[in-house]
Amino acid sequence: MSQRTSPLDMGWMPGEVRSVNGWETTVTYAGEKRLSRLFVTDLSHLPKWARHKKEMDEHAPLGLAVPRKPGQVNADGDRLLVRLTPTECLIVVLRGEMPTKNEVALSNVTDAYATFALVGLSCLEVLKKLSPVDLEAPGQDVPCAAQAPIHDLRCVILRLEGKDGIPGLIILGDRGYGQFLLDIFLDAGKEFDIAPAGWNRFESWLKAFPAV
Amino acid sequence: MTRLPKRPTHRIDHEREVSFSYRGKRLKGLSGDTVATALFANGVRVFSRSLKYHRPRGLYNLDGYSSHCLMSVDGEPLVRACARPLRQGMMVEPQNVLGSPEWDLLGIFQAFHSVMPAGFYYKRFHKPSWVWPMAQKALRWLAGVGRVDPDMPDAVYENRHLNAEVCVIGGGPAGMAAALTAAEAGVRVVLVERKEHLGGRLDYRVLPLPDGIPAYLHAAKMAEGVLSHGNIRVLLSTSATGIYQSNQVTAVQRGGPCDPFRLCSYEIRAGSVLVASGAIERPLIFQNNDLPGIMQGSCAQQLVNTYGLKPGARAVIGGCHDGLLGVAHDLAEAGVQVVAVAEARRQGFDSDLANRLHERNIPIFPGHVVTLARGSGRLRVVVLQPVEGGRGTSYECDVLVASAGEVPLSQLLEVAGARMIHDPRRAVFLPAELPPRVHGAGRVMGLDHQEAIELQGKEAGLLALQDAGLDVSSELRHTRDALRSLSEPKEAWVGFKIAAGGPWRFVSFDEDVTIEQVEEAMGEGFDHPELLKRYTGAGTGPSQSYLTGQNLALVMAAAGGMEAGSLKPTTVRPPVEPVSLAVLGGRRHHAVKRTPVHKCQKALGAQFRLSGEWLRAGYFGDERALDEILNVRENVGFIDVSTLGKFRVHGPDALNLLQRVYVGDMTKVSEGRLTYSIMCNEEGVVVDDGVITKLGENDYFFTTSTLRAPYTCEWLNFHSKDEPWDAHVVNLTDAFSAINLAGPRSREVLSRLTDDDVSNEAFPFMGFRRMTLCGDMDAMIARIGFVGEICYEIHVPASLGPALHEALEQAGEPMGIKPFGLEAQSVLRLEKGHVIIVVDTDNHTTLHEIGMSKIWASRRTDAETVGAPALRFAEKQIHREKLVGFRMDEPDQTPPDGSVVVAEGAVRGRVCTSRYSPTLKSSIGMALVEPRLASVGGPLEIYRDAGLVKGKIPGRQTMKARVVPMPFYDPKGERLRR
Repeated sequence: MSQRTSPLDMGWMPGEVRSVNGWETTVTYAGEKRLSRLFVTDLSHLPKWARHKKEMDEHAPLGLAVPRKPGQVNADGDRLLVRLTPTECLIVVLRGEMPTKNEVALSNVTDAYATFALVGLSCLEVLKKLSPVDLEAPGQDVPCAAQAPIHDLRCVILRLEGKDGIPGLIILGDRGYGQFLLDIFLDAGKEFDIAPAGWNRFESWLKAFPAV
Repeated sequence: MTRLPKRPTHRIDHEREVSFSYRGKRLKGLSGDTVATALFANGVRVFSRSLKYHRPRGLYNLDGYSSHCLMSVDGEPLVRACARPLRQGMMVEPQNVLGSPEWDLLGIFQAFHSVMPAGFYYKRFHKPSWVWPMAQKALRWLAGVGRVDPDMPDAVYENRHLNAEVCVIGGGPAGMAAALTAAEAGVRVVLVERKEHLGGRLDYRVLPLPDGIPAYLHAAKMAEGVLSHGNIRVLLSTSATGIYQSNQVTAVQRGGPCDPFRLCSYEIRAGSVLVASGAIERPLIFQNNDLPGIMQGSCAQQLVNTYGLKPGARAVIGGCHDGLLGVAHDLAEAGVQVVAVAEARRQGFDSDLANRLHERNIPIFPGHVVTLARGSGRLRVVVLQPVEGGRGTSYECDVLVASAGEVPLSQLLEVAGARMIHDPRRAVFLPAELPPRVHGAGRVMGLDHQEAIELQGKEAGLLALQDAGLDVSSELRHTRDALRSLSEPKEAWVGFKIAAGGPWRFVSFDEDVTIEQVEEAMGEGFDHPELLKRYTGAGTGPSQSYLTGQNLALVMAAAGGMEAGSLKPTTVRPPVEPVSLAVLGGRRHHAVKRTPVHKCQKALGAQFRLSGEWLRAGYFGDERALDEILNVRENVGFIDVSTLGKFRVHGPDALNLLQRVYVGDMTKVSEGRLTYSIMCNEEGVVVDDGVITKLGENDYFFTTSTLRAPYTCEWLNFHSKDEPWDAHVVNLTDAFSAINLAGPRSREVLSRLTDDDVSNEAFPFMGFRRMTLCGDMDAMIARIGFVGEICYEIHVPASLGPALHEALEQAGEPMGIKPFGLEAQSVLRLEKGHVIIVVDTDNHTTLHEIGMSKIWASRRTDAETVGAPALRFAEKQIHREKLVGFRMDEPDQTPPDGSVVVAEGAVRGRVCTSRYSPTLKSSIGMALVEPRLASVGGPLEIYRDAGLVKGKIPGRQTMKARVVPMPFYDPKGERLRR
């Protein structure tokens, strides 16, 4: 099988690696036991689909209802459905495969985005160093999302809450800017002792992810 | 100098010494000192010299609003030493002196002040004209305000974004009351404070408030509440620099020893902004009002109560507000002999404070003002005189605390859009008519009663909550009732035209502008503060409008015999405090895109260059890429074209959308075939090109140029926004990696990767196929001919880009495949006469000029196509430029891109691209020229910009070329169709 390559180089020696659909996914990094309270995980391999439809509210792809307003997110623990605009939503498959559906409104955008998670109590502080987006307004539903600039680059930012109520962000940016985005997050997170973590750590945080 | 015994208000640590150097001498201060107070503690009294006359200047203000203490600290010029915290090992130097601040040789300019009046540089040194350049240089050197040290160590500068329902500017009692009120309701509050601690002026006031609690304790209690409140984010050592649209507040924070940055700029987006920035003492104007030893009340009080320093041995106090009576008390308490208090008001001042002074036998002289200070380099004598004039009395002293009341620090409200209204009772301009969701509280609004200040802070907090949609009407009503019941702010006095005159009555310390000069400038017709400011420089120096602003308008009104308030202070513009350019630069991250095969290309020796937002391989080895070019012509090469814009358009109205933006007829686009077309803007100017194909019913895929791709979605949306169409554009630029396999042997290479039939019959020129490569790689392949050979543009999912790259290298190895970069591509397509939009065209070049008119489906209605009316108009303009090919007379002479084509001494066109062609063994190029120069065989003269030779412009040189037909290579296009 042809090898797929992530746009992100975490700059850390992988420990255990697992191959899924041609993607080499780092399960753990060497020396990852020195756990930081803020970690970043490469999620570029997660299947992602864009769905464009004029009458978006009429459809419920994958059994998930389309949220009413842009910025709202519906989730079932394995998948996230993000309403980006009145006519566009984004589906991020956290676990498992995206069911193949021959619908013209769907576009596979898995490779269009570099995707990574930033998890830890200070993840929102790191975000403040890079983006004007406000995902903390009083009464803000979580999960939530926004299309907002990070260092002036348009990104999709999802705010989630996982195990023990620890906040996490999933950042999706143009694949070409992926390494740049990762580097500026690592730089901004230095003061919070940011470190890369493999899929295992991300998944254990994700376990408590609430189903909607 | 020994410090005063410890007091609870002290912000210094008496046990922790901090060593630093001043003019090369090692000195010691205390932790908590500012640079200025540490110098003061070491006996320094002259801190700087003034800009123009080089008059000695001492400590005047301790809040960072004065230019008196501008110094160089650790190589950074123009540092306000009074506001810069002292750090271990700091190197402090004076600036703008020849010698030392005490003995500055340039002080001789004081003797020539009569020939250096306001705006003298507009009048002197201009005749004869050759004098001025030299004079200008000399003036700039003499008026130097420090030098930037290029070796200053680099530091971290950050930017942060904060969002809050309420942003409070000012951490004094009004600001803290506002913040607490808002935060208690559960909204997010950001509080910005210039100093390293909260409390405002209460922080250094020891006298009790009406409730009997010492002011500093009251402030400390409020500060504790603010700092411990979970909804309030406090930014200390942070100066707000502007309020912009939608209540965006900008601020800059100076990092402390534990912060990971030197400076951090904040962009705070707030629902409401509450400005509680307080007030500043208005400089009192009298003869020699700039002598070292003369300072503001807050300065003297902070020296004693915050830094444990005695400002001097004998003090005179002169002014017209109750605060100064408190200062007199505190100075006496610290052991300073207060010999006289001149209070301009005859009545109305605080009787409790007056009694305290009487108890200490400090004489108060109501109805008296300071009219003269004397001393050589330092204050020695002060003369007090009745307000009405009359005989003055001299007092020997080494400190004069002087100020003419207070003026609001309203700069932020002004930049937010507030109007300044003159209040004659208080002789001050106050902010009014604040914009929506901007509120003011405390002294900035003219209040002086402590309880009223805090109540107004609370009121502002409630108004912010109301802005946020909360119902606080009842509490707001009660607060306003309580506020109304309190006493009105006291009357103030301000006078400028009193008996004593003299040349050194400064209105603007920064620019050495005196009352005499203001009067003189007005006499010359500069009778408005805005004009006079620009002519004299008053209010344009480092302290801007803070110390000068209101005084200037009032002095001008008095000088012109006008009613006070008839002239308004000059306009304030952001940033209201100086901002380091470094912090605006931030972390200096440079965002560039990397293609999916960036690493693969790098491993092959690619030399990268920027192309739009992308980093692309320019060449591999030779800079002119001659081997790469020949390998494509004779063999096979491959280039990374992942940067091309790639878009899918689907939906029932997809075709309508394509018809709108492309000039070609999109109804002809079919499955399995490619159609080349061009986009024009409303002026018919070409903006992009690419190929389009049909993927299925109402489903299209098209590519755009690299440079245009980021804007394509917006372009399509913009031109369909008024239509009820159901069409959707999906940007897949980053989703696919694309490699162009080109050369006569490219088919051989491709056939080794797939079982599909890639013969010319099965997959002809301009065909489009979906294929499986390497057994499992889904690819879209477009057979194009941009470089003039058999070309396959292979698109695969971006994550498979490196795998495809490797597969091509392996499959092509027997054929001698080599990568090629942008440089080679540029020559190859030039040989074919293919235009690169934006590179070869500019924002005037229409479809007709580049000879592509035939692409335009001109029979469609104009409304259908963007740019069609303009194209129809331009079609008839015979004078428009034409794109021609040229060959240089000297084969090795290659004019740089953009060189101008000249004829009869005028510019007649320009070279778009020119390169040496190893295939044709000659330099060739394309140029846009006037029609009369476009005839095949005609000569072209191209201006050669040889640059400067030893600083001189060489004589005019031109290169000769001849217009030739295009394409230069394979004119029948046989090679790419084989």
